[in-house]
Amino acid sequence: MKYIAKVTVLPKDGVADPQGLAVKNALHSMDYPHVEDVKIGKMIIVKISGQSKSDVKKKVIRFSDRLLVNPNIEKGIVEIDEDGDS
Amino acid sequence: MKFGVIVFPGSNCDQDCYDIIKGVLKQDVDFIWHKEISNLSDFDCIVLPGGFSYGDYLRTGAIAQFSPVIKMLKEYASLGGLVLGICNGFQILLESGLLPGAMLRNKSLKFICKYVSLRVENADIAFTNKLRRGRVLDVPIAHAEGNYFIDPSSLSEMINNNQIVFRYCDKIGCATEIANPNGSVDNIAGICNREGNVLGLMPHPERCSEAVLGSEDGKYIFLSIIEYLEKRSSVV
Repeated sequence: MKYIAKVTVLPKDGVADPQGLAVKNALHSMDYPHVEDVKIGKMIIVKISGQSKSDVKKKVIRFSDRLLVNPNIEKGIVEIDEDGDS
Repeated sequence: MKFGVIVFPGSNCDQDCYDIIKGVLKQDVDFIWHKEISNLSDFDCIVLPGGFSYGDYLRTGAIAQFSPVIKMLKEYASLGGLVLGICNGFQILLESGLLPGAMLRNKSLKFICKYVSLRVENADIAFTNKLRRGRVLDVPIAHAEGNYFIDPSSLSEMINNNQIVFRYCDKIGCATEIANPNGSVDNIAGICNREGNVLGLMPHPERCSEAVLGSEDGKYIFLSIIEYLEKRSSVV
């Protein structure tokens, strides 16, 4: 079975996010004063095959913790979907 | 005494390190291609140079941590071998867990390339024994991700263990906010591991080890290493 794993990587709470801050300030200067916070991260899309969704999720979390996410400064959110193209 | 300079795809300060070690310090040195080495035991000190290993993809230093040489480097460091990581080399040491903490983008979001002042905080390790605590060095930086981060409890642990080796400071040695070029926690420019045999720093000592380059302050780091190794070999 083929799956698509979406790994969203964001700065951890309490870690400086200079890009997010710059964008928040830009939004304020565009007259959106109600914008309270902006965080900038990245999304990594992985095509992967496996026995089941839960099996794939375990694997993705395991390799995310080792490579895709630096737990000192980032948090990762893993979502798995079946690959509609397969 | 033999130095090794590890070359990753995208390293670009490897030749500078090699030239200083060979040409200025007159020491034996070899390049080590990150995939080709079988063991590091022939070397007395390993240098991880600056640059953009693996194009800085994902995070600076993140992909290099899985190069074959890093596994050997971890073993080498655990046996007390000297490891010096400069700029991207420091970032690789952080990502591979040889040093604590992580790098964020500079607070200004800009690539910064200029001379800064550094205050020596720990002059008791292999890399700084020719210096004294409180001395101010002029050393250039050149990076976009040098904003050192570590959580507050690990930071106080590092301070207690004397692991902060260099801090950004002003000309007279005060570690002020304005003297901090990139937003690093506690003005940190360089740190070592608990044992003191692994040093990482963002500034480039190899770019200021000859008078013709404007400063010779970086040379003291290399001279310290040589002195340490000479003493160690005379004891053995």
